[in-house]
Amino acid sequence: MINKTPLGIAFFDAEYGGVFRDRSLLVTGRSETGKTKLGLHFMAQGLRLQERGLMLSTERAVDLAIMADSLDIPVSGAVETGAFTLLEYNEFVPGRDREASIMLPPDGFVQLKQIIETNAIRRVVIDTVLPWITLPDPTHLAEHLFSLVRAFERLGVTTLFTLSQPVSAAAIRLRKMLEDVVPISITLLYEPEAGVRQWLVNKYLGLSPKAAGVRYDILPKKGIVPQPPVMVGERPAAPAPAPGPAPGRAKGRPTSFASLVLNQSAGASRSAPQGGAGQTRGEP
Amino acid sequence: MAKILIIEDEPVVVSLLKRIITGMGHDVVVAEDGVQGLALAGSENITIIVSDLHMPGEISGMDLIRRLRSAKPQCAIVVVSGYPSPDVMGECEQMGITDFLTKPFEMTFVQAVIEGILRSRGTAAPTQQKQPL
Repeated sequence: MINKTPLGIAFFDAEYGGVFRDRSLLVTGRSETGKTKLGLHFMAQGLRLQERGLMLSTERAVDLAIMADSLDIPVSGAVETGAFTLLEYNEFVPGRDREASIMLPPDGFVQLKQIIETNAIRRVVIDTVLPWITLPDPTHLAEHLFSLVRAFERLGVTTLFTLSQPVSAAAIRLRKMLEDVVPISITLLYEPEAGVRQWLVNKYLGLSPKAAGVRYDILPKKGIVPQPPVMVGERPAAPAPAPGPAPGRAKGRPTSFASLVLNQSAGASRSAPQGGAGQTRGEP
Repeated sequence: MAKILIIEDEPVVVSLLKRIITGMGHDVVVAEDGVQGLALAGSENITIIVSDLHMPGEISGMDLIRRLRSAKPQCAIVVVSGYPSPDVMGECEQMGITDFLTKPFEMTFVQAVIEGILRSRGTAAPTQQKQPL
């Protein structure tokens, strides 16, 4: 039976009826296109449905909480209650140009799986998926990607993977391989000079995605919203700038997932994170 | 306690599976290829067979699964593979494969899959000894 759940973006949900529950979707886009913000919308939608969420990001947990507050995406309170778990790849956040240098140790998935199972999480955002798919030897990359996507699906969670816009032939192949194994693939485009953002659905299993994309803005207190239709002869209005990190109070203490895992790999305690260890759960 | 046959040629995978399954308190026997796997399946009192789909030697993985299914219909068979094509997965399903795990990430579900099979068969699971993966 096909079971869908809302993504949390009204124009997409109206068109497609949401995303497939307990399956994965891929969101690709260069920086500033709103991949992380989309992840927050996805989390917020889950919380509205009483679904617990987990977001693993290269962004600092405190910055994500501030970003969500500035977009009026109500996730900070959920961090306090434990309904929303924020994890950082690393305490010292590398820039996007260094994403490729992050690579998870082999037991990274085991750690994440334990957190998901312990906290009965139903929605996951992996922002970015790159550390999970960076292999020293790409011979078995297709198997690796298939296994990764299936493993998340087997956990019974709906997962949103983000990926930077590929700029090399190898990266384009990688994105294609990943797109092959997920049922939904969305590309977010952004032309800063023209101030134009466009939402394209590349793949939606069982449906023919519309060739034309949807223009969207990222507005303070609203997040991702469609642009109003442009009248003939009218220039599209430049979108309002995306809100930057606003001063605010971050909820909870950010914890580095990658450093947790790396520490364990280095021979530190290998005990499973139980009851919120390794998570932002509103600890003092 | 159940006896579980692992048919797998990759030492790293065998080692991981053995660690997980023995950690659960079950007995493990290992075959490195299809011929050995068939022989052990015939001579030992096996409850579950965990087999790779890509095997070296004279018997292909799919042929091995077919023969095992025919020779040991009462055994649960869990297939472990990399990137199976939809055709292969369909064929496995038709043969009555109990479950399908892909390498590398899904290997972490072996414990849950084995527990599920034993529970569905009413086999009392031994006390679980938690093992780090």
